[in-house]
Amino acid sequence: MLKQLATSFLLIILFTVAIIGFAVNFASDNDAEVDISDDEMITELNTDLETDLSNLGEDSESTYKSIIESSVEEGETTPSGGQFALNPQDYLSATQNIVKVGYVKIFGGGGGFAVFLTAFVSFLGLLLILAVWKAWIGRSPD
Amino acid sequence: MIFLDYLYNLPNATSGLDEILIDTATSVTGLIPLLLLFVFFVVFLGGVGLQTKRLGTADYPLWSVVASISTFLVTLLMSVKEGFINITWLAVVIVITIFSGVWLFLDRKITEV
Repeated sequence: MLKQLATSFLLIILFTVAIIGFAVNFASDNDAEVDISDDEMITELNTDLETDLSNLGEDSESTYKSIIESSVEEGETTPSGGQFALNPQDYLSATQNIVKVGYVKIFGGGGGFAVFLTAFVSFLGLLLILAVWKAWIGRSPD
Repeated sequence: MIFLDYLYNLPNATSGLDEILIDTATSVTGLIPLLLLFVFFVVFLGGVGLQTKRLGTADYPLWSVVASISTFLVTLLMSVKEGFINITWLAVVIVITIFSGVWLFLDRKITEV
């Protein structure tokens, strides 16, 4: 489960870097008028993710080095795990960062989203009331 | 004959197709986002519909990624000339593409990614 999540998070990070990198390079190559590198938040996310990936690489290299350079004394075991010996928190925080930027970009950081949220929660509440009412009078809640 | 006022400024039709499109997009600001929405849903619903017809089920996250990457490429082409899209919409398209990727990769098992 942990391996699966770590792989998913790693691929999410790589996918994000690839998409943003493609957009930035497309704008640069074609001298585009609308350039995503003018957007501070996306650029910052890209830089952060590249730093995260670079740290991840160094960490896994040092873990791997410690494995191949370790010597086994009698009665001891070697450490193992390779890149998955790392703290999955690294992957999780990078993914959280991606989702946070996305959230702000789509819904905005302001109070506008609260209107949507209120409407959505009200809708869910209405569904709940209808389900309770239907169950009460003996019909299928579906 | 009664002539009514137009609700928007008519595009200048003498300076080429690009300018007609840009003038229209400037007058009708919803045109380009809705066009992108159309591209997304043509690919997404088309793919899901055909796959469901063939297999009985559909791979929604994968079609979402394919659709959003198609939209992303169309948006990038529009970004070359000023007037079609602004940077806010470009960021939204990029974020939707990334979110599709998040959905796809969280949906997959380790043997499938």
